[in-house]
Amino acid sequence: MARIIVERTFDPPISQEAMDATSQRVGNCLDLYGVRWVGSHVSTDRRRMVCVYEAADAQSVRDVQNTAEAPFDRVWPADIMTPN
Amino acid sequence: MVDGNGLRIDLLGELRLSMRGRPVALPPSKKTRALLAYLVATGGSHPRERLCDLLWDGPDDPRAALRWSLTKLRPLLDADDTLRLLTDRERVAFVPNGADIDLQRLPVPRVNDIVSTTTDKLEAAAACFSGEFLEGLDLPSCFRFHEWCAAEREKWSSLRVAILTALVDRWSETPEIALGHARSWVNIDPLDERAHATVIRLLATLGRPREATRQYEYCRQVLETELGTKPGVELARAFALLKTSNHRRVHKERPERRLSISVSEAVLVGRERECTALDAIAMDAAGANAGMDFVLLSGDPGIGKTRLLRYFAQAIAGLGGLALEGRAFEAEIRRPYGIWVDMLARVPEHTIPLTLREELRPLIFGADGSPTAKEGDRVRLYSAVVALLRALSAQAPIAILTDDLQWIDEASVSLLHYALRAFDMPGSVVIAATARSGEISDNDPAWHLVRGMAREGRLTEIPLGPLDTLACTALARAMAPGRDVTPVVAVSEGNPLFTLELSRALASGSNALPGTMKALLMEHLSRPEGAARALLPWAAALGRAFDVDLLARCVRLSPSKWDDALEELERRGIIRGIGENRYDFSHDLLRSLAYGLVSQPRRRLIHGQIARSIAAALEAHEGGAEFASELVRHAALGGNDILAARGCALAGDNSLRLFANEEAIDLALRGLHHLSRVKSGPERTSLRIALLRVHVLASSENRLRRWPRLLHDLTEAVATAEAASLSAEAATGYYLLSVLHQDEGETAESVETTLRAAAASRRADAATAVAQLANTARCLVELETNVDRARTMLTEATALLGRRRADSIELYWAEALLKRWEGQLDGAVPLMEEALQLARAQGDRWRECKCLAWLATMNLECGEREASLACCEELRPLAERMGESGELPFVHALEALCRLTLGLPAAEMELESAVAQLQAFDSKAHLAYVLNVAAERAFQSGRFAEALKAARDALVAAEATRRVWEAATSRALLAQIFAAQGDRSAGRHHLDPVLACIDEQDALSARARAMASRAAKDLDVPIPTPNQTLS
Repeated sequence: MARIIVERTFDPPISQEAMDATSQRVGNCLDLYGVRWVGSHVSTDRRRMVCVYEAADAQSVRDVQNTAEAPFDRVWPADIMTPN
Repeated sequence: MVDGNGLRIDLLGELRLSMRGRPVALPPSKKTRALLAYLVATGGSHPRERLCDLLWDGPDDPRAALRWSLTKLRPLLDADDTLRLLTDRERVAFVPNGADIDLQRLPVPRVNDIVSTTTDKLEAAAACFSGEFLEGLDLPSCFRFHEWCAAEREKWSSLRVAILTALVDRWSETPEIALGHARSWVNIDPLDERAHATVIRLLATLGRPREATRQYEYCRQVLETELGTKPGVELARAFALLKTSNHRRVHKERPERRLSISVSEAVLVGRERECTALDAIAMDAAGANAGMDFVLLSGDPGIGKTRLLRYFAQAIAGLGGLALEGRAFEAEIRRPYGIWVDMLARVPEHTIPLTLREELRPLIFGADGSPTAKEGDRVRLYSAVVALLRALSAQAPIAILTDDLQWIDEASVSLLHYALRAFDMPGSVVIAATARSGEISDNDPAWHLVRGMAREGRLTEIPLGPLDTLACTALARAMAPGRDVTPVVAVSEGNPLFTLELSRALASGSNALPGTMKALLMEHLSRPEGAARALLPWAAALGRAFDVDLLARCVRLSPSKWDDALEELERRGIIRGIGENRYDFSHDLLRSLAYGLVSQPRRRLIHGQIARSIAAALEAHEGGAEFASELVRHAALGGNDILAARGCALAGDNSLRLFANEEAIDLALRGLHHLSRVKSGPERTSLRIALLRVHVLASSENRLRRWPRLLHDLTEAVATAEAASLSAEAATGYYLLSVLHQDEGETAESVETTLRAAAASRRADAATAVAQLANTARCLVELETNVDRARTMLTEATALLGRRRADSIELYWAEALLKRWEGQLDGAVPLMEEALQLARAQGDRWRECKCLAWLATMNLECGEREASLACCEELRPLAERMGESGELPFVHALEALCRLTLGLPAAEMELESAVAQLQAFDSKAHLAYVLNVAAERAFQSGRFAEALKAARDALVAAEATRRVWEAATSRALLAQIFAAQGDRSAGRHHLDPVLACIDEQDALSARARAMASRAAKDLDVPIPTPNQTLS
């Protein structure tokens, strides 16, 4: 399984309710496409978000986002770098 | 005593909460109350998972159910800013923080402490008990909670008995006080002769021989009917002491004045508005104009729901119609299709169309054999039930009536939901039910059904409130003519059952009317004597309408005593006849109170005896399929693990026949749980295989992945069976192992979740259900797996839509993909065009892009290259505007493929560039498809090296994304390429795995199959026909 990153931006900033609702919709679709949500980082001003998934390919993650109507800017596969 | 902000929690008796001395209303949900009790009694922190297993084994989302319950408990426990309920994502804990809890307040926490405790403290300890631990809080469907609760009850009862016996001893010089404690002792354990003997001795000492004799008679009766024994030495001595005393002789008591009016015959008053509404619905049904609403009569226990439902049944019958009535029982919540089996039993056999009999066999005629249930079978069964109802309703109006919906089983809800969907136009069919308002949320499927109907605006709820004073007076006067009913009206607060029972008491000459319904009903239950009194606990323990034949197997009484006992109970309005040799309690409250009066040890004994009687009946091939689930319940409550496991195997098998797979799995797991406590031996081995068989057959295909240990368990069970020379069991085990191996590695876990999602959607409203079923079906075909399931889901979605035309993009999309999979591109294209039009009309840009891309693909595959190119040209600007969602690299690749097949210049370079873009875009499934088309094209042009590379890359991409059909296409292409190069061995290496599954239904798409056939021809390999093994 590859590590897949999803970048999102929000203008105006995303509310907690909207974030919860999107998270719920995405959650319902993940298993359908064989995708696992690893975690997310949201900026403190609630304007940017980076989500990390594991999937066979980036397109599976895009399919999840689109099916769940979760807006995103970019989806890309990533390598992991860790401190030495 | 600590103040605890005034919060007090009592568990020794009925669960009670009070704040600063004022009672706090508990949540109506029984499971929420059970959770509260469990958290308080056990203390400490519990993983959410364990709490879910304890109480919410069934719902699709147990964690959500737990969250919901916790939100109801928090305001009760965290009063005055004192945090007592501590929760995080994983765990839940209750900390008393000063709350006054009776279990902790008890001055004598253990039996060993009694000797050193003062009498005052013992009295205080006895006063802490107002009944048995969590009295009345029984949840038979949650067996883990039940087992915990039963063990706690035994523990606390033993302590209470020890305290009471010590008190009887300490007060031996003051028999008036000792008698009270001795009577409490008898109530806790009426099978304990010592308790009866103590009461008799004390009564004799107090000069009350008549009461002492009655006590002796009662004890003798109990011992005879329940243990089949005669009084022992201790009782005989007590009785002898009584006879030698010089007190006056016992006179026969004056017979009590008896009432002949039973609840079932009670008049219906004060419900004019509700009756008018029900009359109108019945009239509409008679005129084939009944609305499509689900009619729900809701209210508290005793408020008159059942009586009104009966009124409605009579109204339908009065109009020449047929009322199919089914009653759900709390004890039968695991009996699949329980209410439907009961309802359909009322349909005269000659009215059932011959064409439907085979399909209806599992519900009406009782199926035999062991079919392996498939999804489609269930839909066919449901369709047959609906067809039967349609056929019947063509002759006369039909009412489908369910009493006590809060206890309905999940499979029955599923069928009820299906029927509600089918009858969504005005007609002659009415579907109605009653439900206890507070308890319906405990039953997840029933709760979803009601909420779903409400969301769709199809729920006609008739809430029943208290009767007004006038109606209450009229009812009381009808029951107690010539009496002053003012006190009845004042006390009953408009509850019809309470009014009826109070009036009954008034009519029988009682002067002091009890102030609560419970006290009144308890008094009512205390009146029967002799055999009738002895029969009550057994009837209550049966937990549902009972059959006299079954009861007679358990209780030893002479025929004349039987008649007298039943007659007395019926005359007193406690039970009512409901058919030949069948009776039921007049009200469920009476049943639960009668059961509550039975002590825990005695319950165990009674249930154990009932279980043995049922097992004997089953062995003699008597009793229907419902006996099996009865056996499970009684054996579990009676602590007989082997019989419980046997019942689970039988009931599980029955569930399989009814296509109720979830229930079957539940029974199998339950049975294995019981079996884990049984010693090794042939019966255990045999039952283990039988239960694993139910488990495997009910969990066909992907669901097996939920139980990773199943393979291990089954292998072990087969080895044990072989070692014990149980050849038939071992053979069954080997067959099941083959089923498991066949399933291995076929599909991804995601498919299982997909299917669960689809199952859950069946309980949603129609539009959501259609959308989710179609979405799941579409995904399954796109993910290249489980076509059969996808097809069934589409059939179901179409059936749900009824006569309304679909506006579901996903439905057309999925149907188009299915046609393409079948190789019918001519049929697929118009369906995809329909989906595209809907996406445009609904402004759904992403689906518009997807539909256009599929149209381009399909046109390309059927040789309509110009049309395909036109789609791509339309798609490109749209995809550019959509950003990554537009999947532009795939559009470029499709365009390049079109141009390539049209022989346009520079197409190959364009394709090369598009492939690089797809790789960078990391869209492997699309990449596999494009590379396969490119490989096929290169192969046809004789560019083998190029074809080989493309096909190999396609195979890697297809396997990475588990696209089975695309991978098979790649392998078939590789086989063709190797064949052309004369490398037969490499060709067979790729082709054989494809041919191995070519004869399996739905394993390959038409495209992959055609490609494999060509490769087989090139390699001169015969294509296997079904059942032929590949050499």
